[in-house]
Order: sequence, then structure tokens, then C-alpha cells
Amino acid sequence: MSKEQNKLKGNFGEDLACMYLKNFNYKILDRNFNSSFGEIDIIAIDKDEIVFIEVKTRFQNAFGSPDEAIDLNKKVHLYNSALYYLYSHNISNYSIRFDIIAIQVQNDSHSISHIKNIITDYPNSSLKRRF
Amino acid sequence: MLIGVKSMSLLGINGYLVDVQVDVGNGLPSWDVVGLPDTSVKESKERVRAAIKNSNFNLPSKKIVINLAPAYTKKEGSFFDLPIAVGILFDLGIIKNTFDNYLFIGELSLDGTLNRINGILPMCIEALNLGIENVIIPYENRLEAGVVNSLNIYPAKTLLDVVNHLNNVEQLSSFATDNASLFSNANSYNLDFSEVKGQENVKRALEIAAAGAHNCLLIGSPGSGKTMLSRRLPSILPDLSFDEALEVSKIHSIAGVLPSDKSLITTRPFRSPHHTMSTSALIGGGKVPKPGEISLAHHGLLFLDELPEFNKSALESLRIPLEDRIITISRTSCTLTYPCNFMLIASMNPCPCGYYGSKEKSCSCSQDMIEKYINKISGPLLDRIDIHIEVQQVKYENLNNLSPSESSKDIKKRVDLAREIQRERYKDYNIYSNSELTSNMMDKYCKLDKDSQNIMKSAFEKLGLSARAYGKILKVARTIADLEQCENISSNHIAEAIQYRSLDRKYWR
Repeated sequence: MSKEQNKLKGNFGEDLACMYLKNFNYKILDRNFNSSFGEIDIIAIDKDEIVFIEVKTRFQNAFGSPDEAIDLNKKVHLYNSALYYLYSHNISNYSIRFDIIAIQVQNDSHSISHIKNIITDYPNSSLKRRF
Repeated sequence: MLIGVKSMSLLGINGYLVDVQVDVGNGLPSWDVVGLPDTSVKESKERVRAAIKNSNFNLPSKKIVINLAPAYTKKEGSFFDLPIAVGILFDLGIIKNTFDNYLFIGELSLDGTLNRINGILPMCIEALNLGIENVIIPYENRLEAGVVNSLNIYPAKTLLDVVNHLNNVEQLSSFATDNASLFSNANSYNLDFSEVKGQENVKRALEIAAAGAHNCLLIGSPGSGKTMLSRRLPSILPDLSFDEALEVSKIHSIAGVLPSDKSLITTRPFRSPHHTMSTSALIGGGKVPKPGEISLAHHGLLFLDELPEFNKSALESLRIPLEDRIITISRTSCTLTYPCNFMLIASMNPCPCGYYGSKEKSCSCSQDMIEKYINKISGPLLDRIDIHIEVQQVKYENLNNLSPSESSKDIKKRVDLAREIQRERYKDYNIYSNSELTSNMMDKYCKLDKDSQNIMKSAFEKLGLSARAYGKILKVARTIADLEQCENISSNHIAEAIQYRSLDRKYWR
């Protein structure tokens, strides 16, 4: 599968996730925010909380479920990118949350699972040693 | 909202107040503990997080900062778990009432139950001094904490119980032990002097030692009953007073050796460490110094069986604590002082084969071997032991004698009487026994008449006594006089006291 196809697939998942979030009254602030630390798929506001969302889309189950794909490295990227976003947009004094939206596509149907609050502490290397 | 939660930490044998300040705020989720925490305090975040979650409270992702004030002293231990959890739950609005007059101590397990911790007693005593009224502690520590009667001690089983108590949903019941009943069955020692046949002279010496808290050295051949006699010494020691029991229990609480089914240690400690022990195990040590055997024997007995087998440096380290009755241990992280007012009782053989000087069997050691063996006990250490006594082998007639010898109970009565006299005499000085007399107190209370002075003078010259030995003889004589309930020391008291010092001339030359 080429890079092009991968991107298409990602966009498809992210669109699905945005629709899903809007159903739950999330306000989308930004999509595909890029920084030197990595990319954040969706940035949204849930009530008074800023949520950084990583979307994982899978078309087959062969490589494990989508939410298993977030490892410590990914968390570090997410955390640092979020820090950069807040800094560059001059946002402070908000409650902040990190979520995963995992989308499993099978034939014509898909299922969405939303996992909230995946990072509760700075994901540093000492954590890595422990796991 | 920021709140300070009162908690305690330990420094030596005393607790000190630690203010646990918890701030839950907005920002990227993080959890920081500041105020010089060690690893066990830092790890509290995993326990607290799991305990809050498993108590069915929601812990949102917030920026959490915890400060342990005063921030300049190093904190260690797991007892900050409960105050941290309480602080967070208050900030989140789950605990609705403030708790100014509460102290929280406790370690959390992952499911939210509170675990038993060490050092509760000194912390509760410090809380009383600071005027705190209510203390929440782990349920398993209740017996120990309940001794401090004037505090409201609330033993809690889980974090949920604490929250319900503070929210006035379900009050915890306060707990107090009946301190008078603790001492009712205090002296239930199962060894008795009536089991020892013969050896009347040794029993007499041990009685004097017990009456004045004098250090004692037993020298004798194998099987003569040194260990048997020493092990029965606690049975004639006077009972612990409440203040003494509190001091002893404090040390045992910190060391974590207080039995969980007991509130206080009400019998005098009897410590008999093995001779392979290290110096730091004997006097105390570690990165943050822990009390050693001499401190655990505070107000009790330290029994060193087979004295020459002990590590030389361990024995020599006893010199200063034997005199000062406190031990100051210095490490880079801190310098701590522990009390160690113990009575030393030691036993040894006179030579490697054990029969030097025996009337029954001849010694097979060369003079060289004997000297090498005996010189493992240095002069300065020997000098600090008030009573030296030779234990001869028991004669057959004595062994076969069925008439019972004097029981510990009867001996203890005399000892108690002598101690009562001493306590009355020294009530203004904050000491308990003759062995603690200082030199100017000796001038006042150990006056000698003409006869006694003459005996003392000739003994001093003949035996080549040191100034310290002179003082020790006076103290022992004072105890003998107290046992006979005499106001003044007379010549026969002095003579007996000198006799307990003359033995070292026989072996140490």
C-alpha cells in the first residue's frame, strides 16, 4: 500500500471521528496540527476541556486492535505537540485531556471506540523502564 | 482550591509536622511531588491514583502539584499516601468539609485500604504536643495509637471510610486503650530464679546489679550456668513505669518491631544478639540511621553471651554509649540521637578451653592462648562494667538438693524496695538508679566513714584501680546499702563492692 493510500485511509477515519465528536457536542478547533514534535489529528473542545485526539483507523485485525498502536513514544510526541500547540496559540488555564478514537472498518460497516484520558502524567523515560 | 493537609514524618525518635499542600489545577496532565521526597514518597502517586480510582471516585486529568513543607528536610516513608489522597479529593470537591484540626497518617494499597505503618506512637505523641485534636490512622495501628488517650484517634480501614467520616456521612468511632490495664499483667516472665540450684553468690551479685542497674560480667567455665542465670535476670527487674514504657515503645515503633497485638511494651526489653552481629546492628546505623540493639534494649537488658567472640570493633563501640546513655549516629544525610540507657550483662569463658581457674577440671590452654583470648576484652570496656563475678561449677550436692531456692518474686520485692529508695532520692535529678550518678552527686550521696575510707584506700593502691573504677565501686556500695535500707554506706558495703571489682586482677594482668 502506498503512502498516498495510507493518507486517504487516515483522512477517512479522521472524518468519521469528527462526525462522531460533533454528535457529542465537541467543538473542533483544529485538524492535522503539525509541529516538529509530531502531528495531532484532532483538537477539540469538550465543555470547558481541551481535548487532543489521536485517531487510529484499521481495516483489518491482523496487526492487533487500533488502540494498541499507541505506545510510549507516541504519547511523548502527543504530549510535546500539545504543549507546543498551547504555547503557540497562547492558551492557558484550561483543563486538558488526551483521547484516542479507534475506528475498526470491516466491509461496509465500522465501529468506533472512544478511549478518554490516556495520559495522566508526563510520559517520560522512567515510565518506559517500568513497563 | 488549595489546601494544606497535616501529616507527620519521623526524625530520630520524634515525629515532626509535615504540611502536605496539594494543588490540583489546569494545564497539561502531570503529577509532581516536591519537598525532597525519596523514592517511596514519589511512588505514592501510583498508589494514590489507583486507590482513588478503586474507591469509585473519578480522578480527572489535571495538573497536580504536591508540596511537602518544610521543603528543606528529606522525607521518606509511605505514610504520606493518605494526606495526599485527602488533599486531592478535597480539591476535587469530593470532600466537602474542611479539616483544620485533623492529622492524617497512612499508607494506601491499590484497592484503597489503609496499611499498617511504623512509628505511629511518636507521631501521635508529637501531635498531642502540637495541640492537634483528631488523628486518622490505619485500623491496624489502633492499639499503638490508642495509648495517647487525650487525642481522638480514628482508626480507618479504607480511604472511603475517611471520606465518609469527613463528609459526616458515616462517622468513624474513636479508639482509646485502657492504659491502667496494660500494666496489670506486666510481669509474667516464665523463667524463675528458683530453677537455679546453688550459685547463691552469683544470685546475690545479680540482685545487686538489678537493684542499681549496674553492668555485670559473668566469667565461668562451660555449663556453669552463666546463660541460665542471665536469662532469669529480667524476672527480678522492677516493672517499667508508664513513662519508661512509652519511651521503649517509641523506639520499638520506629524500628518496626512492636508486636501488632500490643499497645505498649510493658516488660523490660531483653535483647540477646548473636555474636556475629555487625557494629551498626549493635549501635544503630543505615543511610538514615535506624536504632540498633543498644537502643532497643533501652530501659532493659542487653545480654552479650560469649563476649570475646564478638567483633572487636562492635565491642569497643559500646564504650561511649555505656557512659553517655545516648548514642549519636552521624551519616551524610542526617545526624540522629537515640537513647540507650541499658544494663549490660555479659558472659564469657576465662580461656579458649573454658576451664582456666576451675576447681573441677584442669585447663589445657597455654598462657599465651589465655592472654590472647582474654585480651579481646579491652581494659576500657572492662572498666565500665561495675560488677565482675566468677561463676563456679555447681556441686553435686547442690544439684541433688530438692529444697527449692528463693523465687524471683521474693528477690524482686527487695529489688523493688531498693529502687523505690533510689527513685525517691533522685526525684529532682531525672535519673532512676545508682548507676546513673554523676560525680558531684556521688560526693553528696556516697559519703564514706573513716573505716570505709581506709578499706577503699588500700584497695585502690593494691588493685591499681582507675578513677572510674573508684566511682563504680562507690555506686555499687550505694546499691548494697540501699538493698539493706541503710542511710549511709558502711565498711561491709564497701568491702563487698570492692570484691566485685577484684576479679579482673586474676585474669587481666
